[in-house]
Amino acid sequence: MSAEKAEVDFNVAEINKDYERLYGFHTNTDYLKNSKRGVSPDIIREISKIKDEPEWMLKFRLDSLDIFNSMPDPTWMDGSVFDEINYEDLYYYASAGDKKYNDWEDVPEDIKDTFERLGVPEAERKFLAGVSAQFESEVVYHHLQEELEKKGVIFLDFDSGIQKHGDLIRQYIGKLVPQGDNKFAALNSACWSGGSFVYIPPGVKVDIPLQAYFRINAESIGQFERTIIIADKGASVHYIEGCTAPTYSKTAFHTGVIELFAEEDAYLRYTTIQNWSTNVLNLVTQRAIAKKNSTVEWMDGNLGAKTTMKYPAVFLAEPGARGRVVSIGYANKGQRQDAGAKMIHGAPHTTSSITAKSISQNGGRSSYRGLIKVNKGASHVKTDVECDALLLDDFSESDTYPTIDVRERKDVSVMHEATVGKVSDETIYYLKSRGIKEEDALLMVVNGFIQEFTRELPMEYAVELNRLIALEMEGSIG
Amino acid sequence: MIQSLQQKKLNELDAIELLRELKKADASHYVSQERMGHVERALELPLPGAPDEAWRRVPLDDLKFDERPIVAPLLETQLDGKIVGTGGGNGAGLPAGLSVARVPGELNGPTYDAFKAFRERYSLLYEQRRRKNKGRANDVRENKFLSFAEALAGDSLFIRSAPDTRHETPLHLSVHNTTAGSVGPAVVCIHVCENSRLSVVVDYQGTESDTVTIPVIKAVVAKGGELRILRTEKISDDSHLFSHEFVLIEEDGKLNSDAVFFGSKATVLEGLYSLMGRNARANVRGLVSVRGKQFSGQKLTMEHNAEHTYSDTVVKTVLYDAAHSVFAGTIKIPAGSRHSEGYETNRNLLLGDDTHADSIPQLEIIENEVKCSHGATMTSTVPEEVYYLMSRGLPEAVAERILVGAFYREILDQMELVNEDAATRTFVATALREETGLELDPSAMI
Repeated sequence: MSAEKAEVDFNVAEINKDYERLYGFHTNTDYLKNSKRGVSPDIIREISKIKDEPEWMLKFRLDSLDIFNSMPDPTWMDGSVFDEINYEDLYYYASAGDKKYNDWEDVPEDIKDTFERLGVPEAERKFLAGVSAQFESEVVYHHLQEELEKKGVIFLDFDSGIQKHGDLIRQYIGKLVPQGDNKFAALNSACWSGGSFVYIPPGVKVDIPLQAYFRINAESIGQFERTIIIADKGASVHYIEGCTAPTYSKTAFHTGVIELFAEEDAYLRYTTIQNWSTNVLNLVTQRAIAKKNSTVEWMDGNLGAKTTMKYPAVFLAEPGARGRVVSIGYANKGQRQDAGAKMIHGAPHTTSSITAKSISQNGGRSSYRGLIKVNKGASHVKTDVECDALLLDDFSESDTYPTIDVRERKDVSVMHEATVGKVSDETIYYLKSRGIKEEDALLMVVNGFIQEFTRELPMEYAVELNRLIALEMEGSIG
Repeated sequence: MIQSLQQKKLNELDAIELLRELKKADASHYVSQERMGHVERALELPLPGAPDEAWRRVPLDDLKFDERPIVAPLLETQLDGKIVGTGGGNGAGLPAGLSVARVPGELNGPTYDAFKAFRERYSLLYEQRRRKNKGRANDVRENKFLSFAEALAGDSLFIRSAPDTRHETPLHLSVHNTTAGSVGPAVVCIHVCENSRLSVVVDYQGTESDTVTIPVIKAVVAKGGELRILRTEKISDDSHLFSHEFVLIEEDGKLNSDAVFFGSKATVLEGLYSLMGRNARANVRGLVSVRGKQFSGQKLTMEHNAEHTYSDTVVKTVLYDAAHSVFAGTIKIPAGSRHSEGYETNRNLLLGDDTHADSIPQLEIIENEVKCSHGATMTSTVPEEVYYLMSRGLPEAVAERILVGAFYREILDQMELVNEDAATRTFVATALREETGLELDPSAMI
């Protein structure tokens, strides 16, 4: 072997040497030492005690645990997805620190370190309204801009919400996602920790998006965040949640419950971009109710996780309500993005639209699973669904499972359309003939394909998303 | 129907007794391993329902399936209005190249060999398609009704068009359960041999009350062959029809499958169409008109199991009063079926105040070199369109009638057998006139 070659080999070996330290995202996890695995009434009592919760909350948790134990796995998905969950082997609660930090300076170094890699400080320096950063299962950093507080906006982690506005939360919790809605909602109701509680008073318009960063960091840690957002009469709010997680060998499990309430004339938008590491099971129940003349919008981006099951729903309860879902799913090797949307028209003069785009690559599988329901009496309803899938190679998969259920005829119009295909050779050829490299051409087409989603995002998110897609697609040619 | 089982009820039978009776009936060398394989499933499976998205919506609560006496429905074949093919063995009144035989009663000599060839081909192709398809969670293929019919149907019918023969005049087959309160299973096998063309009209009929009819059609369209089939259904409002069909289409083969269904207490058409060879094509057209408290459901699966295959499914449903309809259509394109095109459309016209329509169009695609789409709409008559016609001087009721008629006509015009064969057209137009009061036969309109 020549000296030159040996040097090259050595350099190659060196490249990955610091990988764990630089990109591995591991931080000290000493605090897990005292936590128990598995879920039982005792653990639930312990969680509730640590959080110093009112009696009703403990009862809510224990009732939910009973429901969880008696519920079977869903039957409409392949059982293999649920088989790999070992409920006994999961941590149901982990606390990263005893204290909540209001000031960035007070945040411990190792936690700061984690946020550094996630880009929280940069985002903070920019124009975030408030950051509720979830480290492990508890919110450790919370900041809310003063002017929002002055307007009466409540933006708290869910635990503080329970302490400070318990009566308000009690009126809303479980109203849209009852404990027995599905097995995972029951589990969440039993051992939720973290999440956000947002209340926007009547007539208040929050101009800047409220953002929360979520993160799970230890092996087999269950994340059970619980979020309630209430936009009171005539209020307006945009809430953004983004996730990222380090790569671990064991399956991480994430099941959240999110409930949105849009009162009369309110506007509520919820944006999520989840980029969990590809060992995470992400099973989230997201539901919203839209009252008279209000609008609820879910912007839902699914890039990461091993398996995602997520079907944001809007119940259009009163005349004039509008619901909208724009979602994208990107399924890479070993990933399954089972996402979709549900629109329930429960009142006349309601409209809804769903735009779902999915991309599958390297054997990934993306599915659209949706429901449009028009109840009896819900006349003058307009709804349209468009779901398009792009397959970037010939061994990836795309499924579409929409359900349309209509029980009213008066001026009801339901449209559903779906297409599946590849990026046409003609398109790539055209771009190449204009001097664009094949890789760039494909990326341009893909970015164009998901543009309906990216244009709805705040600028820095859109840029980040395009970058993420570019990274995912690296090496997809040849 | 095996004589000893006639009028017995499913809850009176056990597997051992059934197998013994089937074995006895095997004396005619109609050895059917498949049939025996279905016995246990017929007895053990629950009534179809969840997680199957289509069947879970079918009202089966007061069916009392196990308590119904089992009978053999009447199977009668006609050509140009004359009864053919039955009693006298194959060939009676039939043109050269077309044969109809009772199984096992009329299997002899060449007919036996032909039937054996059909069964071997069918099993081989079915196994091939099964291996190509990955199972999905709600992809339910086992069905109590299907196993019941496979296990207990007595004299099934075998229709065959010989290679290179063309049969433009449709063979009319009526399936009729004549015993009120009973359940009647029936199996029909169709073999369209190489480069032949066969036209068949299957008519599910009966005015008797409270019947359950479970017909199963199994067909192979061989290389270059073409099957044109039209199913019509008109049974009493308190009866049930659960029909199953499997059509396997080989290279350059073509299927034109049309259906005109009127609903009953519960009418279900479950179809599996599998394109097994290069350039195989399938056009499926369905027209469903339901009224009162009728139910009609279609669960159609189109599988593209080879390269360069094409399918187009269009089902249009008109719902009056408090009728309920379910359309569940699936297109599957497994890996390797490059350059395939699959399209699916479901249009629902809601005319009653208490109607309930479900549409579940599904795609499962594992190949990127394809064109595939589906669309579904649910609307009532569009006020703007009614207004336009009224502005031309038509009363509102007439305007509505014209628009509803146009909805029917659009799909009828696409049905090949209805358009090409005058007798079939009259047959369908008469049924539609009786059911809807609309005149849809273009020749009668002139």
